[in-house]
Amino acid sequence: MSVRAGGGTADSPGMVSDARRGRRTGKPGNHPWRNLLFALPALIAVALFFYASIAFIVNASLADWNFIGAPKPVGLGNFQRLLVDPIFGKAVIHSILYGGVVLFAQAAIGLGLAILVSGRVKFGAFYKTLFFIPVIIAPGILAYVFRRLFDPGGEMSQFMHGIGLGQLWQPWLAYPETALWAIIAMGIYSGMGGAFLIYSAALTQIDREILEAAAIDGASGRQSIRYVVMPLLKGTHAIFAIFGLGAAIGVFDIIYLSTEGGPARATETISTYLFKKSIVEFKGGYASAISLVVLVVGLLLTFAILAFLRERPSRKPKEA
Amino acid sequence: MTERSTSVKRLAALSAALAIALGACGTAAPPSAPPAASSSQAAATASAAAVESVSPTVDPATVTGDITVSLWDYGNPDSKTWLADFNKVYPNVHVELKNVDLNAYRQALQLQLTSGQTSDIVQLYESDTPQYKDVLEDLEPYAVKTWGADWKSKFAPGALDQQIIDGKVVGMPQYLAGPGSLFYSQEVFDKLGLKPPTTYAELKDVATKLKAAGLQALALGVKDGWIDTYVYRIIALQADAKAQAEAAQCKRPWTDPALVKAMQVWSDLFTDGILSKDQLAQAQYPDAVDALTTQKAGTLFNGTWHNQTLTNAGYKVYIDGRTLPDPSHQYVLRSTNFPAVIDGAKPVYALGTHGWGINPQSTNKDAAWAFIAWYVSEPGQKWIADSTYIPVWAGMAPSYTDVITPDQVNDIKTQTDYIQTGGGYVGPTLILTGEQTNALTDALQGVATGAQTPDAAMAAVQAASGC
Repeated sequence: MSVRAGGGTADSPGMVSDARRGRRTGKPGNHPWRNLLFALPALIAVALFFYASIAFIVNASLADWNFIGAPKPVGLGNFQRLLVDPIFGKAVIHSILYGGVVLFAQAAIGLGLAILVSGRVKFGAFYKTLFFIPVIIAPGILAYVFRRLFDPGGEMSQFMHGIGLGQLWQPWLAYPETALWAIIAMGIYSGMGGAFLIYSAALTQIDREILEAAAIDGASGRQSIRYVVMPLLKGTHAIFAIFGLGAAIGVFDIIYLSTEGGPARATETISTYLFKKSIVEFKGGYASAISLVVLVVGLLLTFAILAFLRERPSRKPKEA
Repeated sequence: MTERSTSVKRLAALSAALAIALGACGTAAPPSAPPAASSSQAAATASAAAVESVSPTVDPATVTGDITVSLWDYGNPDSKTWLADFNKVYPNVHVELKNVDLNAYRQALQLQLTSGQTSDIVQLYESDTPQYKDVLEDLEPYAVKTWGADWKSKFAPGALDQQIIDGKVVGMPQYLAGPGSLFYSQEVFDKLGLKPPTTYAELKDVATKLKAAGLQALALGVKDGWIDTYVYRIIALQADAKAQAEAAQCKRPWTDPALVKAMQVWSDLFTDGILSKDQLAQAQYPDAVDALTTQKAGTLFNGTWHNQTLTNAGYKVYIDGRTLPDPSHQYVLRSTNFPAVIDGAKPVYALGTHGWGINPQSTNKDAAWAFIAWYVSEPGQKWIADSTYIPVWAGMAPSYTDVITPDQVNDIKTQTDYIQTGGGYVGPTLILTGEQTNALTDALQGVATGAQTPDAAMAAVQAASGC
């Protein structure tokens, strides 16, 4: 497949060639400027609400500003403070831990459940509904329920004491050593239904004949999943990872409603710290610097995920 | 309510409190309803009637037109009631209330005030007022015109502390409330033969007996920094009335012996079993408050705003949906001073208030001022008094008409007298920066978990204080 000047290929002429042809033939809607015109409202919206916002944040990050009075320029002072801010360091580590564990667990559980109910399964629709329910629970309710569960007099405590494992129970959200893990458990629970849905949809797109062919070639169920299903789900992994990354970095509600980042900052994440700095402490400039760092790191991680999951040439099987 | 709080939960707590308070206002008690026909109640009723006959502070004939008021979510349904009262006096002023969730409100107000695109009147969250100093109308000329040059003397002690920033009158106070109360269950205390503690030793003894009875000793939502810092504030005031206020202004280090001592007492509350490390998972609202309401705890630390649970209307709200040991029984919640936990000290209260400010871009500032002047003076403060809050207008006292029992009337009256004239409020109102409040919260929770010593915790506060 040779690439031609003008963007098209020998096999498929491409959009630019089509457009040129459109001009020659006078077909409506194929003029580039006209296409641009149609895209203009969206472009303006993106420029205004996305790029202008970033420009605003960049500007604010270079100032000592409470978002109300006149900003005082401080150059890179906010970024220098960030580098030595121990709480920000903690928040970054907690966010990475939360994001990594929650993403991996949600993907594993979501995919596992999707595989379990794929194909013809009795009460399949019931199971699918059941697995998806956590997604529609409002974070406020979820946080309240989990706080109740983990409360010293709560249901979890009563259950564990009831089955004779009371000595293993502790108020997970109360102790710095366990609070983040309790939050992670909440995060996994709240998002696994979404992962299940994404993987369920992806599994339905896999041609059954491929799996049948693998079976005919002697592949076991496990081998089919590892060597056939998983490679075919690479795109889904990428989408899930990117969306999940955004959700993990931005997670705020369940943490703030459960622990407010405590006890003693044990569950402080970037988003809760950002909120405290901007809204509670009126440190608008500093909060903007945090936002900018998060944006850059988020973009870098997104590119890294895409690069990692980019399709590579498959290895040639060893010849016997 | 004195610190520059950082906690959304405190806001929720106060929101709930005022919602109930205004609920009490809106739920007009039938003449036969109050069972406590005490002389103090009769006096209060007479006082309320007298207040209703007071002339409005700004001549209604001079103001007309539309004004908008931005406020956060609590009290919206009931605000219609007092708004109707306002409109009886000012029929030519149309007020539109713009109620939003408090968190969203605080975020939006930052941007709205920067651009000037906001309502004529804005509600000011107590600790945020200093931030709005440069973007709100100076209310001093209005106050002088309405009440005369000595207008400040018309307000209760402490009422204006958080509204006057660097000499500028940024806002006018709404109501006074603050921490320093100990609530307890009459039934539990009677059953165990306990008396309200007045010293640390007595508090420890009561806690031991409560725990032996299988109850939580002192309900407190240690998860919430706002209530932790309130407890610390009360202990620090007992240790040295000026220490924390001076530390907040960098006039004294946070490692001052009095402040370290206060932190040591906070630590002792945990090591002596009065508080438990497990309470780090509990929120003040609803967890700690529910623990007392449902008789699972014997006592509760809270603010004067919680006196609403001593009213018929407030009690109904707080028990709604809760499982009580005997659902048919009306439990009696009592209120007293939090004990003097520092040897030789006396009980203290810390007061504070939210405020009303005027947008300098308003096109109807006279009507906006008429509204504020009505609200903060006798006619408007009647609603505050009815909610058991302490009015900001000097000489007014909470109303006791809906308080359930004579003992409870006495509880609130004793507290209020102690705060207003008995030296219970020592002032000045403390204003911490957000960074100081968060650093103090970290320190308090660090000590509660056992991860930090009181000395190390206060050194960390000093390091983060910006001083």
